[in-house]
Amino acid sequence: MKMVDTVENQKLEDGDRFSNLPDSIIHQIFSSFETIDLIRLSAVSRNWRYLWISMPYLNLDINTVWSRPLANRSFHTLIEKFKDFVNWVLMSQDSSVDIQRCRLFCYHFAQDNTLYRWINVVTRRNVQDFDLNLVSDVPFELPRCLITCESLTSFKLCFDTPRVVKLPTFGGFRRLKTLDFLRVEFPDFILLREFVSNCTLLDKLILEACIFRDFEILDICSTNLKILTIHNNIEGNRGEECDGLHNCELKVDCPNLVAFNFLGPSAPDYSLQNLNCLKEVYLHLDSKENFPDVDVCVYELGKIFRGVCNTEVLKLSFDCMEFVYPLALPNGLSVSFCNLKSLFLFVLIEADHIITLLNGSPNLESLEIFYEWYEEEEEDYEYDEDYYFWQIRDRAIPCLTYHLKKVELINVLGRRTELELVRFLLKNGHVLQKMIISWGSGFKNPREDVLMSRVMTLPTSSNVELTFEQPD
Amino acid sequence: MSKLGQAKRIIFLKTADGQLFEVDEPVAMEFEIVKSFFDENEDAADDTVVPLPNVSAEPLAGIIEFCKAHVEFRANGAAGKDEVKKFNAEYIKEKSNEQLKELILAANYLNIKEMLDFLTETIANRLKNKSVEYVRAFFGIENDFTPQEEEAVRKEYEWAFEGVDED
Repeated sequence: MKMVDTVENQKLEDGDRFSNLPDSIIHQIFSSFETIDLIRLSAVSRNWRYLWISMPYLNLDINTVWSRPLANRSFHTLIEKFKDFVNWVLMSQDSSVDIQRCRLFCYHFAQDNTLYRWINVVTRRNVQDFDLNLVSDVPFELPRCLITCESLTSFKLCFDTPRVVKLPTFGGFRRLKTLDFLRVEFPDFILLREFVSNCTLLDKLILEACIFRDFEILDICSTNLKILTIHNNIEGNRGEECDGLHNCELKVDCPNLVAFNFLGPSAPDYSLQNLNCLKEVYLHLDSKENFPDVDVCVYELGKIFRGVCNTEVLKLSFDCMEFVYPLALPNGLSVSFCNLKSLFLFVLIEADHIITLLNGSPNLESLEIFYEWYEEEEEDYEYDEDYYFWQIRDRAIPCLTYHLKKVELINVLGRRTELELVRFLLKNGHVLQKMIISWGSGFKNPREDVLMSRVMTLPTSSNVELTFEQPD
Repeated sequence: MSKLGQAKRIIFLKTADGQLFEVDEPVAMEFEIVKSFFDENEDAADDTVVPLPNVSAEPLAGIIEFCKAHVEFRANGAAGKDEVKKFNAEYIKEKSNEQLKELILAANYLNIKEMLDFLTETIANRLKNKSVEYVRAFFGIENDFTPQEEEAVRKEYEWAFEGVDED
């Protein structure tokens, strides 16, 4: 066949067929490489001699640029050598090539404008995605050239330990879609509010372990924003006072918000407005410093729930019992999630609040529960089992009667509380199609098959398919 | 499972080495080149054979396996979950560098973004911190420098050659 011949000839002639891939793919392969590693590959062949010069991805990191950064070098020499290196790379590269992504990890000192010069070069080369990691002993001012950069669509600023960022007063990023601040301190809540709402094309805002010092309100008001993440329970925060929102109200007014993730200690007050497009919510509430009374928890939780009540997917996790109690109390908190289709719950101990949430979600189709049993409970297994045993009164719950099709229980250890929930769901789930029980890896119970057959004989109200899964 | 009366459409693909593949429509439509073939030839008959003159049977079979799994992951809402990572790791484990090259060339020709992203990342991981010689061997590149030229290049970037892994 003729076609076959051509292909085989091609293979014979073309030993270098692989490096004849389009530049874009070669660039993509090496996009995650440190720039210095790419420079090393100049010795591969003549073609590859200048590969790094037209590379649209820059990865410049003072920690990895030399394999043993501090061996035989003083800190000062290292800083100076890195500056020489970055200057040389920026000078030698083909300046007509637009930078698709630049990752820069460097030190920043008072009276030294080197960093601002680099940012200037990078913005003039139409950088699209800029990831800046700084170890700095001074506040960092977002330079005008970066703010007004027409090509920049994604910007991440991360400090080693929290530092103040001076936001501009003349407006927001022109074309930015994604903005991510990690360990950044903001001195002024009005300035932050104005800045965020002036980034008119912003799609995604992430505030991780940031410090909102003396803020009265963290006020996120944006017409375009689709994803908002406020993450204040990041570990390894080096003892710095990421106080989350202990003393500051959270206000969110984003009519186009689709996903909202809030992780950390609960704020004392919430004003969540116009969240009518919300589809996905992830709430993870941490313990507060001072143990709050039930009324406070009912108030705060009620405010959040009412604000996000339109969501279709809810992922809920409590690192503390304070917020579970109000949900478990008969008259503690009434919730109503009319659009909720999918609920993912992390469950700590007893689970009365599961029923409260099911009651408040009339259209729920899928329920996933991840049991997070405390390790120390293992020793007092039998005692705990009785202590925490709870019984669920059989009753009609709208979502169980009409909509709940799929239930998945993960990390199940075979305790009576878990089995009681299984019993209740099978008995009251009239349209249940599928139930998956994944045994936890701590499951050493020799009665596993006994438990399985016990579950299999429980009365069911629907034609449900039961699956048991072993831990990975 | 397809519903009654909605027979699944099958797309016929013919490789450079003359093999005929029958592929479910959603999987074949992952290939940008096949998709645009049908977009441009709207009235193409159902049994039209799409010629793929730059792809041979072996990589195509691998690509179909990958795309089929990923189409299913998406349908089950499993995209981005652990089982996808598990599948990807398993998929790539047995592949030689030679097979990887053939796959990436084919995925590039067929224009399958998801697979191309995955393959380029895999190749990058195999090349991280490897020597110049290793990279040459991996890509099958002939060293066309004279020894003097190569020496000069290495000297120029001397500081870049510290601490490279043994192959």
